[in-house]
Amino acid sequence: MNLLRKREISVYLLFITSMVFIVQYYLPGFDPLDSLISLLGNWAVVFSAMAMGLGLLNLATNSVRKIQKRSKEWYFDAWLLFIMLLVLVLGGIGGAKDERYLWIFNNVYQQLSPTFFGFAYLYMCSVAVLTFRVANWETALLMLGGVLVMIGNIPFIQVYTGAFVSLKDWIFAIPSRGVFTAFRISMALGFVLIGIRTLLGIERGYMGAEES
Amino acid sequence: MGITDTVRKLLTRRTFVQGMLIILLIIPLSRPLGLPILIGEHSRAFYRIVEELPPNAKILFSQVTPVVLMGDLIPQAIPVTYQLVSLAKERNWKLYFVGIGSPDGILQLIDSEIWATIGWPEEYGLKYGEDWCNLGFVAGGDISWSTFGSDIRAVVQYDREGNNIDSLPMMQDVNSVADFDIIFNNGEYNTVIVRQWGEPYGKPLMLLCLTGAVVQDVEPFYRAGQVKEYLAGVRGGADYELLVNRPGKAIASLDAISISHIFLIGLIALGNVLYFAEKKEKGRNSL
Amino acid sequence: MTVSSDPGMWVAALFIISAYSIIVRDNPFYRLAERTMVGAAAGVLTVQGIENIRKLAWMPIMDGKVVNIIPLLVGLLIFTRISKEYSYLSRYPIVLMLGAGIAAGMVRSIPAEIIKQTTGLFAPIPSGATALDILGLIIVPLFAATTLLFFTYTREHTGGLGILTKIGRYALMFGLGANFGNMVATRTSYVIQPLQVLLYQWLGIRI
Repeated sequence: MNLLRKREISVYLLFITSMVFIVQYYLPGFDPLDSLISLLGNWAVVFSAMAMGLGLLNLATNSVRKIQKRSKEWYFDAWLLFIMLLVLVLGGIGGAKDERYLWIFNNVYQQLSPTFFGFAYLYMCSVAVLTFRVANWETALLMLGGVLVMIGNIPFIQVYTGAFVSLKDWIFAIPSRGVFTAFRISMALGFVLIGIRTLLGIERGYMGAEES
Repeated sequence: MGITDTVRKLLTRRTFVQGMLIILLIIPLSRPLGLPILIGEHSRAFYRIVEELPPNAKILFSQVTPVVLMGDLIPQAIPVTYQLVSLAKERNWKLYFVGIGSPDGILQLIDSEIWATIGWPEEYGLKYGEDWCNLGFVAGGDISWSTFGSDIRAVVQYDREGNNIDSLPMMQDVNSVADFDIIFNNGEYNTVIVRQWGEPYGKPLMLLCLTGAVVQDVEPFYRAGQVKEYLAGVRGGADYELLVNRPGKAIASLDAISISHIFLIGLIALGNVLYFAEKKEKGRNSL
Repeated sequence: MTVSSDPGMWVAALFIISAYSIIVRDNPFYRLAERTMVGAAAGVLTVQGIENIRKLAWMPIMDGKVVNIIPLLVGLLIFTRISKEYSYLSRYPIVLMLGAGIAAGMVRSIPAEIIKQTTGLFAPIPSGATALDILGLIIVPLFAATTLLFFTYTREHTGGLGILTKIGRYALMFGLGANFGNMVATRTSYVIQPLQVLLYQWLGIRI
């Protein structure tokens, strides 16, 4: 058991798992490796599915803590816990096709989720007057790009003048393509570098805090 | 208190601006203004590619729309799926639906939004297991896409209905992404699908993406030839509804989209007019 | 206009209206809607995870593939994360997942996102190209290179490098503005969708 506590074991395991996938990528068609990849891939999917329950566990723990302490508006947390457990029980026992689970999904979750997501646009409009100001050349270019694309995106504009649409398409194809290709390349380089650091054991954030 | 102060105070009152926006959106949604629209080139090209798919094609449709993003993604998925199912019988296409990473689209929205609107595939003469199937949801990120790509049965053994996929006639000779002829993706994960399915297997990718994802994600891939064609959001969905002659939610949204764009452009313009007016006033007062 | 008689639709409509009541001011109805959404979301996500585990591990075990019990048992170790004493056990399934994910993503991102995107920046001049087309073919790699240069910190941005990074900064601003302009269309549809539910499905307004 002491051996399992050692963080180095996790580092070695991560390195070995990663190397299996990397070697298989450069040696495709080698059956034993292909079978191992399929097995590990299957396991990784099961673990990902398990991890989906961790969020619920954290939320439940926090809610119970707030209810026990009778924190401010603890009754809303009690309601949250109730809804969460109700959905879990209905869906967990009856399955994702259970009628009662689907009723909650279709009438509560499916309606509320996009509603809350839409608040970002409402808040953006409410601060637009103060935020999107042309104070210098940089902000002028920012606003120019934004406004030209927004005008090009207005559906009925295209019927009366194709100029803004052509301009928008040109912006997508040329200047912004150059910029976002650079973003894509640098993000991919960053991903590869972080990946190498992680599999070499330099990055260990995934392990959580060091035990005292 | 000058007029600029009054206008600024009004336009920075959250309740006023947000309330105005909601009212301005409700008006065209309940009484369409009938503003004209023109079908975009990408939508036409997308439609043409689907129309010209060869007979006996095996089509993989990745339905990974999360519920939060359904407003921009489902309106385009509906007419595209309609085109696929209505032509599938005559062209002997095989339609495979799957959802990797995001469960909502493939487990729920496909029933409640897509089939509920256009009708189930059986109404188009398609038989489950022989002409179409739903392989269900697979949790995870890159590793799940990668493993599905190389060995489907490593991550999918039972379809959404609980049938062993080996019992489905259409799953014979289908072992990896290499066995499909074309791939559609409705949702996010544009980068992942290019990386894990498009590039390694060289399959044509048709992306139904968020409007907001076009500039940062899809356009660079499209211009580099890694994506065959794409449809973008509600606008693409509206074009497609016209092309398949099935008006729906997307066309109904267009007037509201026009109004909201004009509203925001107006706020930005007004904000800048106020800013420069205030600057001028400050300059005059300091002299 | 025929108002819906479906109780589910009334529940949905009342929740949507409660959520939008934040526009007036923060109130208990909004907080109720918010907590409902969070609770439902957590429950739904877990149910989907259970479905996946059932199909990938449980049903194969019932069909005789007993070896599938191994990922099930190892996966359960993830939940030891909440225990102070045994949380070290949760590292193992996470490490397997991470190792596989990192490698699968890393090796594939090099050809798809680095090599192909870099080579895609340089295209031959097509026949019949106009001056604007040729200008475009120059602008794309120029903006890409100057944007990348803008984010280098090993040398001070002066002299020639200063000019290039300035071009990169302006290109970046314009590109981000274009991205923002496009985002507006996406975000608008998130506001339109619940309004459509209220108008068309709840109030039964026909257009």
